[in-house]
Amino acid sequence: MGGRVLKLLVAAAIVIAAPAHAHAGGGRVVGTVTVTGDDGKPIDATGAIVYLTGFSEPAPDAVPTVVQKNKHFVPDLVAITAGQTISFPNADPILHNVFSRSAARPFDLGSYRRGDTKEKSFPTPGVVDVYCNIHPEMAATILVLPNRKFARVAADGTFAIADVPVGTWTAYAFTRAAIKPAQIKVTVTAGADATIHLDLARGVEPAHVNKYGEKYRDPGKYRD
Amino acid sequence: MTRSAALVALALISLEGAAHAGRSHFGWLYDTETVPERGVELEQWLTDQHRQGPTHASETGVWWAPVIGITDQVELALPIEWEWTKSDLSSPRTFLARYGAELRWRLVTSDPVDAPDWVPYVRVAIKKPITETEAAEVDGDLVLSYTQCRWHAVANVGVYGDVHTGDDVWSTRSGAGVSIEVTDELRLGGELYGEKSLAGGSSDDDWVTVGPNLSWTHGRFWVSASYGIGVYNIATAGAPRIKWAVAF
Repeated sequence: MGGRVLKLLVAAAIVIAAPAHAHAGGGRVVGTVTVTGDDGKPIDATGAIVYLTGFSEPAPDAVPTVVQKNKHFVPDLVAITAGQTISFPNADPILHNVFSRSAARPFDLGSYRRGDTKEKSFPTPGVVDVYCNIHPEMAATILVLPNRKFARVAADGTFAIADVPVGTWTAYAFTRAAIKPAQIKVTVTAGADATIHLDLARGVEPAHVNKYGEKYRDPGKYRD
Repeated sequence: MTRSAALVALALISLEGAAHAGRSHFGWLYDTETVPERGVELEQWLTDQHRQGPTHASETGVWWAPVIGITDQVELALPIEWEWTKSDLSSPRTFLARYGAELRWRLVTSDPVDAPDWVPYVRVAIKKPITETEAAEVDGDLVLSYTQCRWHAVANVGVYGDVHTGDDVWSTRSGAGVSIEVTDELRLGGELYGEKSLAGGSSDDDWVTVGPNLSWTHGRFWVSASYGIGVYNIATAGAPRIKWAVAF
């Protein structure tokens, strides 16, 4: 239930604030993100995503890659713009079956082997949880955002989002297994930096079901 | 917030996708879904017909096959069929009827988001009758489905033949149906189906039926069924067909 509430919060955060037209001559949003673990102690914030909502932009042509390697998705958190496509190559010597049951973008890529790649488009904003039907430990989250203004948090906890249109927007920070996205209002003025700080709390990885909606049964029995 | 953003927000309230309600929503009719690449389903049909022709032929058939996803749009079935038959001209008997191979090709993407409303689909099969050493059975169907919100409709046109040396029998079959989503897992609807001799057969073999159908999916299991009520040349016992499958 908590997972559903979290996804609802994140999804609402993505779509709330309607697509406004971007204003020319923008500024930057810079700042820091801190993440605390489920014991309340600070943990590494590297890889968390900071994104802005309130305006829309067309998707770039780039096709990000989420590799299946060593029975993990790499990276396991990806932000893209609505309309982009993601490539899912299998780099493991075993079959994987990538799927999502998320209402924002359900799909089933079937099982495929090392060297094979499948692509999937993500036309609408939302949160898409991606799993492997064979290996329950494989999990990734795709944030499908309404614009291109997002950034990954660096090892020192900082981030910078350039060319942000002038206006007041909502900034969010999110990481996998976050209890809820952190958010703050930010006002961007032309040619200036708007500095913000976001505190994010990370919980435990939520349980998930296979593509049939069932619990994974005896997960060690048939897999490598 | 614009109207479109509000709609997207509403759509996202249900964040976990519903199970797909069955690979087939029909009993007598073919549908257009396919097994994902390298997926396998064990599929079984049970069919019952009681004809009103002069010989009062009755036939109960069991069709069993693994269905293998070759790609996301092409699947291969390897059916084995058993039959029980009885008529005024022959004693009841149960026998292994035929085996063969069947290729099913969905001509557009199977992706639930990218797929168009109209989906064309082709199937071809060749089978070896067990009781006739120098014969083959071939059949094929063109299927078109249309999906809009909770509604799903199909139309089928097909032909099948018993190919013997100089003694071929050809027939056609066609039908149409509709299926409406009632819950995430359950659909109800109705369908019309008929078969007609083309060459080498007898009009006594022609028949038409119409009736309700349902489909239900639960996890990796799905079942669909239709109970055909006699319209032409089918006895009041009707013409039920039930299909079920388990996915792996």
